[in-house]
Amino acid sequence: MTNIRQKQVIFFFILCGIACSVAISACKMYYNTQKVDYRVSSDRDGLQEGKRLTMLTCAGCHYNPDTKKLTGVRMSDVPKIAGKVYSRNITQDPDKGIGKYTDGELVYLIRTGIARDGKLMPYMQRPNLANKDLNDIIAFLRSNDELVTPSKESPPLTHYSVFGKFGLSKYSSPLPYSDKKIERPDLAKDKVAYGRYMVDNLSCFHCHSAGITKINVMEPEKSKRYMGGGFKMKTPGGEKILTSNLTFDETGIAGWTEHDFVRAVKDGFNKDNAVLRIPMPKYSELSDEEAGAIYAYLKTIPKIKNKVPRK
Amino acid sequence: MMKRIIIAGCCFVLPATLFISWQTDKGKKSDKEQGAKLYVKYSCKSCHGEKGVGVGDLRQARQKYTDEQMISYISNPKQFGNMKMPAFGGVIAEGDFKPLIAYVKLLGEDPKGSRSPKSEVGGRKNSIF
Repeated sequence: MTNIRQKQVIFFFILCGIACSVAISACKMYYNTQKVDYRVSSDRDGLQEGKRLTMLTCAGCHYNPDTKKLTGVRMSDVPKIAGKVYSRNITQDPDKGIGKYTDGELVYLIRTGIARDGKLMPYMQRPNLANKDLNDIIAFLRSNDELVTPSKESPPLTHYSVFGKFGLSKYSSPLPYSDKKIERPDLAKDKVAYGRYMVDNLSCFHCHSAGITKINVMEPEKSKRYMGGGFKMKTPGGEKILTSNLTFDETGIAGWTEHDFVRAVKDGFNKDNAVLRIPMPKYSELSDEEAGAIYAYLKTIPKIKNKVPRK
Repeated sequence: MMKRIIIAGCCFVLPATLFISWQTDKGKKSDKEQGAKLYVKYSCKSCHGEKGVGVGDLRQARQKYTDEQMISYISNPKQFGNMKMPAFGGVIAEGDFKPLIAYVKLLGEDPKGSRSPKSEVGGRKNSIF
């Protein structure tokens, strides 16, 4: 009898060992990189636009109000179980920032999500960002603007827990690199297409759909509960909040005027004068026409019935 | 006669002093309660946390800014180089600024000298708002 019990215990531990090794080996965080030959071109207008786009697409995570630079911050909305996640210093400092990155490595990172050391950073993926916009952003990151000049101020390095690594490797993967030509739609000619482009590249759908693990980065509309909200997040102050339903269902923003929407996106207050809480960024760099284009686009997508209470 | 006057004076002055000090404490407590309510109402807590540590570090506000400067900052943070905080000018009622700021200043008090928590944003603790 004792012998049988001993065998059962040994068998149990072997099984646990196998399960652990499978789980650990599934946590693939590093990938091979590919060399991309690319050199940014810059002019005054491009740099100005690059700064605006950087504030719109990068600053939400990388801007640190303490340093008033893109030195990175703690990502308070990432659940603690995933580990301690910090956005990186993307100033030009060679040690703490991106000073050692070549232009090609930055392009590769933003298109595929793979950093120069091979580490997977899926939240960086912007496969549908126009070539010119990508060029302007990188040109700005190389500029002498105070936001990006070298700074050694840096939050600690991200430390994923086993659960974080497992989740990251299970729910995300690098995207294939492509140098196909992508253009930003013309706002004057096609407002809806411009709005779609903004929802994609400002990553609105990352938070306003069913969850970060249920999105489709290549084809945002295929994300689960696309723009229907209800995704649980956390504010930097530790409050648990739910993302809003941004479809034009009556449980969403059907009662909002374009003015209400533009004010919310640009100034950070909803139509009831309540502040939109972080992690929702304040997109003050958008023009009224651009924010209006997002509104026009949202009117065209399928309505989703999902009443999300403001907690 | 003099003795009677002193005794009568003590009987009146002492309770009156105690009453006034009790009322003042009560007033302070209710100001604090009102400030705390406004801190939640205007969602300051969402970003800056219960203790003033979240995005930025509000505990240092009292040392760095006068009340008027704090009102200006909250009303239009861009003026102070803060690009991401919404401008609360026109959103916070005029009469709410005073108790709200009084409460924010209380966050910087550390009467027990206890170790303060670190700013959760960047692992630094040397800024405000």
